[in-house]
Amino acid sequence: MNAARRSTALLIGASRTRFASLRTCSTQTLRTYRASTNDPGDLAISDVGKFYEVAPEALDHLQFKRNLTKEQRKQYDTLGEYLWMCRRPYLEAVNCLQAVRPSFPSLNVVLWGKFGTGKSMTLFQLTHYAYSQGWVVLHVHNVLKWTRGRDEIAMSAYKPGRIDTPIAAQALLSEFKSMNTPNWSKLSECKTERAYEWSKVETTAKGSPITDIVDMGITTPHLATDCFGALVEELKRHASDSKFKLLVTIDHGNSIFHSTKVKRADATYAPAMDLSINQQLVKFAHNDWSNGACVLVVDKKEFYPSHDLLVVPVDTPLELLGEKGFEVLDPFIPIETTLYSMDEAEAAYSYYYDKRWITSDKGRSSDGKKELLYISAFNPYMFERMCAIV
Amino acid sequence: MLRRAAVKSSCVLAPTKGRQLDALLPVTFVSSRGDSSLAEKVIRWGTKEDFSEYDEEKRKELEVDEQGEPFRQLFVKPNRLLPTAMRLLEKTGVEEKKRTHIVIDSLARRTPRCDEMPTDQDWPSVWPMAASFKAAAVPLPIRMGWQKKFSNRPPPDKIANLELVKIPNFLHLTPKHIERQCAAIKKFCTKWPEELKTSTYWQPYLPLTTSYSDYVHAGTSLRDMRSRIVTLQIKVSDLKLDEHANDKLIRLAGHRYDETNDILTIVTDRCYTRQQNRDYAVYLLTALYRESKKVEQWESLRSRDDERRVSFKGSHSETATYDVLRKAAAALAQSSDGAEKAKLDTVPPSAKDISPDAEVDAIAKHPVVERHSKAWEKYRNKPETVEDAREYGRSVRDLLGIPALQGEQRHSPPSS
Repeated sequence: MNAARRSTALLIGASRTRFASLRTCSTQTLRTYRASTNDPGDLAISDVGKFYEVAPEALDHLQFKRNLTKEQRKQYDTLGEYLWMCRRPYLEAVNCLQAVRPSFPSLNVVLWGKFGTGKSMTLFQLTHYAYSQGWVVLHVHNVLKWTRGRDEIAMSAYKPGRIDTPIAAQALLSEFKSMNTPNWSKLSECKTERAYEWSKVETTAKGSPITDIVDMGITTPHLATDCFGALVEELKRHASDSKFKLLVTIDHGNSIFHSTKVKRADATYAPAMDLSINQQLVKFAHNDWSNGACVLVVDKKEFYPSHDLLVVPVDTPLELLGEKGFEVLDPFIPIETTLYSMDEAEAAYSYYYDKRWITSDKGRSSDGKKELLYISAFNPYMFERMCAIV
Repeated sequence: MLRRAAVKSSCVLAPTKGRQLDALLPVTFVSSRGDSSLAEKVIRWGTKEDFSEYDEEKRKELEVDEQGEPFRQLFVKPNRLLPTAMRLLEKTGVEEKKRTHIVIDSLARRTPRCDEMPTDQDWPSVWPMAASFKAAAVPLPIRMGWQKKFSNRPPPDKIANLELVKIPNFLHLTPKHIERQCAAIKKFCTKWPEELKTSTYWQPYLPLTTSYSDYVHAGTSLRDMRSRIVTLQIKVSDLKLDEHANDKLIRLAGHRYDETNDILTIVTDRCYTRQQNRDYAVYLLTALYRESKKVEQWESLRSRDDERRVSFKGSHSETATYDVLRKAAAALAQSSDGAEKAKLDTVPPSAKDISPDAEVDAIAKHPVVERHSKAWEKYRNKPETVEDAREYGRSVRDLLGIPALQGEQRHSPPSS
């Protein structure tokens, strides 16, 4: 009798401690995996591996809901919040951006790394940082959209031989407008250097606000590419004049220097530099302006499906940019994005565990955790996908 | 007198022409097989009676046919007992087993020498010179040759094996043999010169290396086609060519030139004999040498893009780098307030030492810039690796004066 009572007592005690540990685990992890602050500018090294929240207003302006991948969107819609992990590459890039000033020529930063290690995410984080610091932001979501896409094209009237991409330019300009909503008044104060004659009918007078160029491009697609080109020049000029700090972020940026699927009149495919929009974007990489930075992400998507590890095993910047691209960007600071460290992976697991992103019991066990970590090989993308499935 | 066995039978034979005698017999035989002489004989043997006379008469009777012509018996096999019959008789105890193995004969034969050789014997004394294979003298359990398919027998052993005799053997060239021969010759030799132990001394005098292989076969033929292959190797710097000729030779050689050790390797095998291949290889080397010394008209079209290596000097990167440094220097010179000076830690270190109007040479001489240009050339001219990319990143940060974050960056995933 005594033995039975003792054994049941032990069992109850054990289960009590087990549940207790789960409860304390939950609150503990909540405390441990959140960063000290949600302000992207205040994050420090001690916040590496911790999550910080992004305000919904910022997300609306920066159009991340449209620009994030399908999987990320699903996760964010399900969990109802936007928490991003602060990782080392982000802090390194912020460190570089902190050197941006009117007396220093524009900085080129190249984000490189394996598939799924957070190149695009770091880019979003940097855009958000610049936005929160009051910079003017130009985010190019995907260069492949117009190099691989088969949208309408037009031959450039401004420079013969160049190809205009009206739809892409229009989308870029409207995105620019949305991203810089808080800065719109400041941008309106910046005036154009000269008069622009877009066509026989449409013109923009000298000394008019540069926001007029943006609006012109949005409303008249066939002039959008030329408007974008003019905007590039004006932004560079005004940034150098210390009116504002400018951050240009280009995802899949190495595609600017390679090939396209755009057919010319003689049925050959045009090289990417024949597209006027690419020519204009590349102007940001030149160091003839200051008080700004140009951040590019280089990845293998230009050459092969990015997850195909067997075909192109190289993720390094020179290989992906090519010689021409390298010459254009040099000197640039290459920042490598890496796989999760143990702390980061544990933090991510704790977050998914708390938010019930991992639903099954097996996934929520300690053995399941080990399996998830190792089968995903600490790859952030793979880890998130596995947690979603499990 | 003839005696017959009284054998009962159920079968009565019809008297035939040649069998008048049988009509007198009180007995009949077992079956039609009783007609055969062999069966009769076997039965008779069983009774151990002597019927030699009867056999003789029977034989005569059978030897003459109906036409009176002698019957010439077809020789099928000798008239002796088949081994099967013999074995039967032995087994049944009728005959006694023949003793085939005669011990005295065996004893008279001597055991082969190889069975009595001690393992620590002096082999060079046993086999002093090249000789054909003698199975009795070689104490090795060698087998050589092939058996018929499906016979499941091992290869034939060495005794009376012609295959072993036909092939060349090297039993006269064992390590002990060589040792003794060398010891015998040693008093006529001098020491191998120390200088010749490595290639550093003779390399300048003997830059060309020709190599080929000989192949040893233990088959029906001693020939091997691979022995015709000739490899010629020379260090291109030993050819003492000028810069243009050196570069041209390396381009003409293609994959035959190894950058890491500056060696040109020519391998020839297109001719039938080694001599021909060697001559061809020398011809190729001569052709390369002569061609590389020539300067063609179209070589004047050479541009920066045609160089085998990218150099920092004259590159777009060089102009961009110097522009950046000049602008930073200009800004630093212009700034008079403390705020700018306070940010010195994020200013390119070289900008402090350069003037905004500095010439290219002046900037290039700065140690930081020089270091960066070397790192740049290393990065651009080597096949790119992850480590090279990181190294280059560090160099650019040094140049621009933007330090990396503190703490270590982990590059590999956790192992534990």
